[in-house]
Amino acid sequence: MPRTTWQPHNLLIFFVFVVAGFFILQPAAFLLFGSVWSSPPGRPGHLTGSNYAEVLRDPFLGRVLFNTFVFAAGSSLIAIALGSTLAFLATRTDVPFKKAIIYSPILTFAMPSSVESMGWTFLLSPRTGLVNVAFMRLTGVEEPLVNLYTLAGMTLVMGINLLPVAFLMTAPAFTLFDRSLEEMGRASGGGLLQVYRRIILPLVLPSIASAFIYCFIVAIEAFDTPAIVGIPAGVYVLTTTIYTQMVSEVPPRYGTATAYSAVLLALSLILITLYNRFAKSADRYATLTGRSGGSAVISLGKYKPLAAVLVLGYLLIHPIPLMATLAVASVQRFWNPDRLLTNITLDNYEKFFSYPVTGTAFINSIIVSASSTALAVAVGFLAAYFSLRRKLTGGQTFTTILSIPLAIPPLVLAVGVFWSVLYVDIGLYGTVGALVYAYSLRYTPLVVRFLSGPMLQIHRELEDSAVVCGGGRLRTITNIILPLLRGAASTAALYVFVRTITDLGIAVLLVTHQSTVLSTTLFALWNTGEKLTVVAGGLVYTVVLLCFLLAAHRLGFRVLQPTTR
Amino acid sequence: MAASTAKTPLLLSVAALVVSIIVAGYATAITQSAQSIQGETSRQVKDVRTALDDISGRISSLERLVSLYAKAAGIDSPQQAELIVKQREELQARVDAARRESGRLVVYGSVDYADIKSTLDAFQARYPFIQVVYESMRPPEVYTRVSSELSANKPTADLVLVSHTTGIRFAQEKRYLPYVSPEAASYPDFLRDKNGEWTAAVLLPIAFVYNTDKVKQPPSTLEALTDPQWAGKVIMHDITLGTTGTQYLVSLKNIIGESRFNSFVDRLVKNVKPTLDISVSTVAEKVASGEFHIGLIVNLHDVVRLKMQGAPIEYFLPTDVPLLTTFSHIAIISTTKNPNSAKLLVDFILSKEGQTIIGNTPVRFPARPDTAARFSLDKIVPAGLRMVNYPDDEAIAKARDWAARFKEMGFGAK
Repeated sequence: MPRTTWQPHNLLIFFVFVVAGFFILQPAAFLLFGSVWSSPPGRPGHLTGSNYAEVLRDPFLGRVLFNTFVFAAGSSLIAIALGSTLAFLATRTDVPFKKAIIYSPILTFAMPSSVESMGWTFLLSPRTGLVNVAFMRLTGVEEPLVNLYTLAGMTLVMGINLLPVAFLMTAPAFTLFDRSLEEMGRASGGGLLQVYRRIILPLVLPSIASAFIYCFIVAIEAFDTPAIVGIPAGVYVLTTTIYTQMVSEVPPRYGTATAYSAVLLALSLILITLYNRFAKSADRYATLTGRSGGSAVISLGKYKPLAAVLVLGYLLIHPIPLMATLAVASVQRFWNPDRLLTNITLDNYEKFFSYPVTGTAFINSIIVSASSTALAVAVGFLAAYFSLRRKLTGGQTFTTILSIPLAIPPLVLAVGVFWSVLYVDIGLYGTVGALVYAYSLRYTPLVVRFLSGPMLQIHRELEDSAVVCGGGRLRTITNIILPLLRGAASTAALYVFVRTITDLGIAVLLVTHQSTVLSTTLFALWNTGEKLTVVAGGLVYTVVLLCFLLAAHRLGFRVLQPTTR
Repeated sequence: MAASTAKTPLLLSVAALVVSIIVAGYATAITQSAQSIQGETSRQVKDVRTALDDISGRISSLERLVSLYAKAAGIDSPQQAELIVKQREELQARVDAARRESGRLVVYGSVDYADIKSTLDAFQARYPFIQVVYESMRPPEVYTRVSSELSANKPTADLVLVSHTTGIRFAQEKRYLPYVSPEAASYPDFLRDKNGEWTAAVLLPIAFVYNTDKVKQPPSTLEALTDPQWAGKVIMHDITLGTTGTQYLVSLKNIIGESRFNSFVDRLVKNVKPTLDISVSTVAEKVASGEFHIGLIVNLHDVVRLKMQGAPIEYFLPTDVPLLTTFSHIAIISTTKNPNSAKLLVDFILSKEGQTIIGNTPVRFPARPDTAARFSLDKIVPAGLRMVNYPDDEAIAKARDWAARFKEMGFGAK
């Protein structure tokens, strides 16, 4: 495809880039400004380097960076290794419990991540975690089986928390596949493992790499698990350091917190650049050509029992015990493993439903999440398309810019957006528009990640043939690209929708009474110590989501398109 | 002349006679009338006396009535009555003025909406022409929103109901409108600003807690609390953050003295090495679950709530450790366009009625000392327990330095 020349609609696209770029960079710019300003933006002060000097002087900086790296790398490795294997098994093979594997990761992410982390403390706390209590009672050993409160423990929990994302991001790639390649592999006498390693794995590598980078960034900026598991363990990472300065202290230490965020941002930008370099050789991976149909079910043969054990093991380690524990916890007055049976109550559910603003919040949540999802998916699709398919000058830069908000921890991003809508007055302040703005910023890069893997796999010749047949660019998009990406796009949309509804914390600076959303209700309950009510609320989310998925399934909408032949 | 001379005595005597008759008659008449006057006067005096008796009777019954009314109204002196009338007139004037305002108050609060809603509802029932919009958030967000909105010239909040440690910054930055509520007189000095910039609305006492299943007798002194037998069994609010935990310990230092404090903190980090948690509520929860035996620096209201739910926990305070108490205060933001409505809300929240509603909400401690509510502090803690306001000046000013110092001492990080 020759590089496109200057045309009127290109100008339009550049105009869109510039406007969108302004909105994307604005909060980050406020934050960067905050890191070199002696007082919060908007207040009198002077330029200063003292914030960075203070960060460098922090005696715990080395330790914090080390912890952050181990935590992020370890948890993304766990998530990707398990998530992509499960995705492969669930979408392409004849492994048992397929549906359970496809839907259980989705169900667990309807839980706010703070609740999920708390669920792990109910399971794995050294003295009161159910697993350890059972182990100690059964064996008579005084020492717990697993100690959650270590660097390894928090890395493991984060890895499992991230698994659904890894699963959802890699699964579409496995389904968009040219079956002939596998058949060739088989025909040349390769065993299943060999075919997987030599053919399948390399082909889905862009998706896996992109999912890995995404998980890495999410882990770097995650707060809930490092706070709930890490701080009691004495293990601090960058975000717990930033959050405590930005969110726990009054007046908040915007200067050093934003300086730390700038360190995070730099780290993430390096990762994103690496990723982009990697993605440049995209054509090598384009496998979905016009020549073949969809993909076929691969028979696991002698590996079937092994795969079954893996799948069962996952179900028995993650979704089943976690959801069961949370379900039990949601009907407890307080958590105490010795009193599980005498302690039963429905108060938590009553409290959740009778919370003064639940009604308005519910409607607002639907509006905010639906609009954020629509905006994020639209922008994310266009960005991925113009940076990967139609390489427009600036498209690549635009996608990189789009990734910047991803590198900012949500509560810090919320402060950036707060300053933006407050000081650059375009009428968003105090409206649901501010929330949609913040959520779209945060989740558009995720949509790009979701779509870029599958997008890279669609071979150019499909588009070129459309152009040869006289189809315009728009027709090519609507008739070729969109249908092929339907699975990935709907997965991305679902993910964004659920995440925006459960994202505790980002909303709190931006909502007003009129625009209050469910997550701020849960956040308020969490902060007043009504944590089990938040668990109950999270379970209500999960049940609603489950009904929603079932209904969608009935209507022929699939979250993933598992190969059915 | 002789004849006339002879006639003169006769004439004189006749005249004398006439005069004497007249005089006598007159005198008689006078006497008679005097007698009748005298009778009438005594009758009249009698009448007056009856009237006077009647009046004095009425006055004394009026006096009884007035004193009865005063007693019923709790008024001791005319000055007080005057004050009350004045206040009532002021109130009426304020209500009239409030009617002319926007009819909408925006409150930014760190007290959870669910806990304050019934109080606000009662206020709106009293003044139906004022709608209260309550934005519930955490103290740092209250700070960020109020200070940023003011510097962007977009003031939104009319009042704040915020933790004192946060609100004191607003007071230092002169963000508050001074208003001495007539209700503030019922509050002790440490719960109100002398200029009326803020007044306490909800108490937030801090205590220690133990698990009654695991611990029969909690340590009675700070020395016993730092005995190696508690190693690994103690959880504490994170004192390396510069927030509640840090400010509590620094204030405690100034109460028990530097040397005792140093030995306490030294022994605590060496012998016990407490686990730190970022959330004050979690500290109580993890003692209730049995994960830890003892929790340091917990909200007394969390302990009372968990205990009501049946959790095996109880609060305790070692000897010489008073009940350190902070609070959420209510204050008016100086930029408000609705000062009269805002003052009405302050009055209501500080009033006995408002405080009683707060004190009947599980579990919130009302700040007004004479409140007879379910969770009035005097029903929770023994009489005579020493209560001290915290954080003190040093704790507010030096919290960050102390947080760093605690971290260097080995608290938290491993």
